[in-house]
Amino acid sequence: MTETLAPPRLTTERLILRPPELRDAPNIQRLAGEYEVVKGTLTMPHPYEDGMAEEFITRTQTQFEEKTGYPFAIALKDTDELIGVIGLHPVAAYQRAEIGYWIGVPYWNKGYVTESATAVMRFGFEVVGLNRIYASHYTDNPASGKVMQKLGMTYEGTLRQHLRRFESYKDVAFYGILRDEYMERQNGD
Amino acid sequence: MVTEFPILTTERLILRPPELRDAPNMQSLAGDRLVAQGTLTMPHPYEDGMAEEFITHTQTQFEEKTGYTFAIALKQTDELIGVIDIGLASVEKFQRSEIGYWIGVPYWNKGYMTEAATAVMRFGFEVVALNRIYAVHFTDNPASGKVMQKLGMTYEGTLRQHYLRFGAYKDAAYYGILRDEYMERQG
Repeated sequence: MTETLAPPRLTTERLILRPPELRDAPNIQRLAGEYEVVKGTLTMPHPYEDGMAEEFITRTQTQFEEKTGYPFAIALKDTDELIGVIGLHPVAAYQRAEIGYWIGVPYWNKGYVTESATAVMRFGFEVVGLNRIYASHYTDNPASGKVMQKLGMTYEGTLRQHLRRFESYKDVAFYGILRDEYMERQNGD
Repeated sequence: MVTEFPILTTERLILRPPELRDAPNMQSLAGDRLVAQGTLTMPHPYEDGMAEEFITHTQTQFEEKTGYTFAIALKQTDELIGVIDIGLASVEKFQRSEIGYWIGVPYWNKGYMTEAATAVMRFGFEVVALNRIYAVHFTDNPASGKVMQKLGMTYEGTLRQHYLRFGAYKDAAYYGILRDEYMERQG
């Protein structure tokens, strides 16, 4: 089987979700360089040095080709400039995927992450055909959990000191939504 | 650092590396659907050669320091009655491990699993020096969760339909215990 599907592009009211491109590197480095952003993520390097953004962008292309993930640049529709990144990471054997995201500090509290995550969740259920989508956040970063609640996800539990980031153990809260729940929400709208 | 495979003994059990002579017991006990359905990856049916493959794999795991897999054997006869493992993949980064186990149906409800898991948990905290040990069970297999409770683990949550096993989605309940909690229990 030789499928040659193009990387998906999703549009929302204010945003376009598209494959990250090398021209996004300066924005990624500047926005992801902020400690406030980094500390909410699991693996983002800090400091965010020259070349790292390019490496990341190349890796997202590999992810897509190898079907290990669907990475998207979150870009403003008006200017096409990158303001954050969101990815859907499927495990085919279990028909589920994890959503992960970050957004630059200047764009916080404007509903952009919820807007993009809603589109990615729809893509996951309607195009990829997943049964479950979940997300996790450090409990010291409750804003990320707010997004999960707005997506209609259910809080499922907190794995205590499950991860370690910048020398401190982190409690990790899990949220999930099942295909049936997603469908019901669509019908209710 | 542990360079020899650890051997743990409890009142009634010995936990030791699985050996090729365990293969017949492993095949007959793991071949029971009741055992297989409580695990995430155990093949079913459990065909000839699979036990030997698994045993060889556990030796590689030990050599590559990705985990310790113990045969659970009766002290009196040294015969294998189950398997318990503690993973090492996330030790360096997160100082935590997952414990997983199964035991043959004839040995259920005798406290063997709790006895074995207690020894492995002690090994994890005192020898591997972990900060956290956790375990996961399918919610349709509550007996496994009972073991976690007896170990002093705290229920942390249930990831709904997180796994797919034999064609059915499975809710996965998570239990964990932290180093401080373990130490406090030891008094």
